[in-house]
Amino acid sequence: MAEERMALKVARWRPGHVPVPYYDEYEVPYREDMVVLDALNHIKDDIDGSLAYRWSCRMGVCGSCGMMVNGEPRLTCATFLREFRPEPVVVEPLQHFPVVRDLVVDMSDFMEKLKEVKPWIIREDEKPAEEGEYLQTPEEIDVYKQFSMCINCMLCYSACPVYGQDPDFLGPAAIALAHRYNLDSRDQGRAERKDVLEVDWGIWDCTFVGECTVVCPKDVDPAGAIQRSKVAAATGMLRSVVWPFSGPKVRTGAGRRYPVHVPKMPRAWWLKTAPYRRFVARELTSVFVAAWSVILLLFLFALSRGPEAYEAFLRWLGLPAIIALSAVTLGAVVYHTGTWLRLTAHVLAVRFLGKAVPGPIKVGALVVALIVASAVVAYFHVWW
Amino acid sequence: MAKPKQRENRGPLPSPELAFWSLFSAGGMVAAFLFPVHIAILGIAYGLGWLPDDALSYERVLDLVRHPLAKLYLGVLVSLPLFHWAHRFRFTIHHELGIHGGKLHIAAACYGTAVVGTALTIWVLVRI
Repeated sequence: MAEERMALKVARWRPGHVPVPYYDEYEVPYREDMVVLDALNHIKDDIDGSLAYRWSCRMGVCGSCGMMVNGEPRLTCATFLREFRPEPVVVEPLQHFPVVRDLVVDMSDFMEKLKEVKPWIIREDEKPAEEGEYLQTPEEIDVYKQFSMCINCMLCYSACPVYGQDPDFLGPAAIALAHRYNLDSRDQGRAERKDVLEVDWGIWDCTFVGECTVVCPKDVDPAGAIQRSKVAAATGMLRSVVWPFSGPKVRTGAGRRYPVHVPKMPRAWWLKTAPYRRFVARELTSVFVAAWSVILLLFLFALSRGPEAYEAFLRWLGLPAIIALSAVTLGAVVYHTGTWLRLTAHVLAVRFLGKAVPGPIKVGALVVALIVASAVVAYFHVWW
Repeated sequence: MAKPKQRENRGPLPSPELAFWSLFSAGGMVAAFLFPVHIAILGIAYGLGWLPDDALSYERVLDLVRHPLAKLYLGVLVSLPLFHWAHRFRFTIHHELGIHGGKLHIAAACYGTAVVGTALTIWVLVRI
């Protein structure tokens, strides 16, 4: 049997050599158990020693072999060639980062951001070593453990269009790590991290696209960490308004102190992949939401102007074209409801009897609440 | 083990983003849970004649809406989703359309629209 082969298209960029990135095509021997990194290693060893890329552990722990594989940020050591056969695999450097050479990107921007969130345990006063360690129960570890699994592979930054658009954005991994220490029962540094977290370029810049969580090879869920940080900020604020005598105070106003790279995103990035398209569809449902607010306002306005204006408004509501528009609006708003319940279940960290409540149960509870709320509204609106 | 007390760090006011996001979230919640049934009743069931005859009669609806609790409900129902839209629309302009200039003006236009809508809602509800 003839040896099977597989084609790879690899992005090349060399400072001083060629003005723009270009692609080299290679053919490597193919085995079913080969990952993209194996193919790159074969190219480097046997075909073209000038190819530059990072790798180390080959087992999804070191976080250094992240690249764009067919347009998606992936760990090349955990991405099998068979996933793409018989089509050729396109390998490019992680997007949204400046390229140093070929597939090697400069992640110093992240390194600066990582330092800013103080990803270590902050104590008000360290107790002497003789008094022993700070103990934690398994439940206390469970609260933050997921967020501590980050290997700094940068896939989440590469998947994040907000970071691509706005390089000032603190970004998924850095916020997830800050969240991890904020959740740690031994830590007392939440107020110190507020300066970099609860600011315009911190958690508030995130629009919950959610792709950081999808691409994360360690199931860290940065998207969940960011939204939970928002909820924590809002409830903390509410608490300080209701009871202003305790708790940490928010301090803001610090600016960024280092230069960042210039992003190069296509104008219509949100058309590029299906998850991005779904995200934009979700965001645009808000236009229909606002439109229905306006309809309700007009309804109340007609009601306030007397029976004739009210009857005229009802006749307008009965026009076939308006019914059709209402049906479109209903479709968009139901899409909003579906996405909103899913995202709410994602963000709510509910624990029951010491265990995290699984997602489908949270969604189920929200759907029950939706049905009850709808029934109550319908009863008062129509029959009461 | 109880979580130790956080370090105090008193300073000026929090980012206004906190208020914008809170209003956005509350509006998203209201729209998600309450808008589908309202659109189904007012936008579709009424027009297709599926409702009982006097369900939307002027006297009945006026009576219903004049209740203080109904006014409170309607104020929340109409105004908060406007803030939901304002927030998402603002970020759509920045991130999807790639417009990064004039951030303050865009924010003022988006949230300003929601504030005007809220003021109109309160005005109408007070007059009813």
